[in-house]
Amino acid sequence: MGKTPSPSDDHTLSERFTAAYQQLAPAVLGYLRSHGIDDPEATTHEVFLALYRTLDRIPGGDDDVRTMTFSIAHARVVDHHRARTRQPLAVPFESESDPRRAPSAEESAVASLGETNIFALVGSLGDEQREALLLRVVAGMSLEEAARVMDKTVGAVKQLQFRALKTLRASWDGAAEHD
Amino acid sequence: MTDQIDRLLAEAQMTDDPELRGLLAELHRAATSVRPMPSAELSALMLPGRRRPALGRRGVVTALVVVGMLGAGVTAAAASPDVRSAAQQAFQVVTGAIVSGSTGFAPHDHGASGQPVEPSRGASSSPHPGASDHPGPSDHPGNGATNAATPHPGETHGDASDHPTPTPSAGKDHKP
Repeated sequence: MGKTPSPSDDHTLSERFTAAYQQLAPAVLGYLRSHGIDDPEATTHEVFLALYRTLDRIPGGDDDVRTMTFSIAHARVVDHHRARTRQPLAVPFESESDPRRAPSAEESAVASLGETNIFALVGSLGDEQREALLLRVVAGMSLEEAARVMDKTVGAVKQLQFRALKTLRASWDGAAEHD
Repeated sequence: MTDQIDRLLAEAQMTDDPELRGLLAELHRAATSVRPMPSAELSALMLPGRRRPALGRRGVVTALVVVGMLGAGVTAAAASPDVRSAAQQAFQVVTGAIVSGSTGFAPHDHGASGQPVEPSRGASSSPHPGASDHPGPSDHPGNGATNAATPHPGETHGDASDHPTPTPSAGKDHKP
């Protein structure tokens, strides 16, 4: 049985929660966007609601709150990918995506620009490589923290991020040649 | 953040690649450039003391009487200035009686005093840490009376009941 929470407990919790949201929300949104989550903003809200429910049990400082926040976000990403593999993606017919249709000059130019987009480059990585890279670069985690979130050894994450960087470099070179 | 990128490149022994460093810096910048607006539900959690205390029974009666008298006053004013004056006097008499009646019960009247009652997590309409680790029905708009007082316009996509309690191990067996 826990002690009855006092108003000051609520106030402290709200202060911590507000600070966590202000500090981490942009990175959580970017992390979810980079993973191709369908509605990243709504999922960001879900992540922070879940964080609020656990916040009073996180005894540590900002690093622990960040690790927990991205652990929750990571679980949502895993759920998203699992759901996507279970359900066939329903795509409505759009004339723009019909391969029998020739693209206009403007569309070709936009597509060319899109290939060099950083999100497109990151999207070309494998799921785990992308995860390791995003936890390090977008979430700002250490190697050890990223390993904890991914539930892998430090060595395994180190290997994943190395491959991710190699692949990213190669994709960048390929995109530059294409342009 | 540049420290983190430098550390990452050092771990991969790729510190001699300024273009890659620029790419990673661009990734960080692009991914963290949008600050999402919190939903109404999140805002309520971030701003303590914003919950409006529920009106007590006497508060509801008082509100109804006041609204009724105002309506009568407006109608009467349209008809005759004399009647308006009389209505104003009647209004003052009635509200004075109500106020004096409330004062008489003040020592026991916590619910209608206008001050928030001592926070009771069990009675709150907002999610709270002690309720559950699992997003339950009370966390979703339209499920149950507890959410009736707190609209969540930003949560139309938030069906978190499909998701298990998030743990760092959730991705253990996840394969691309």
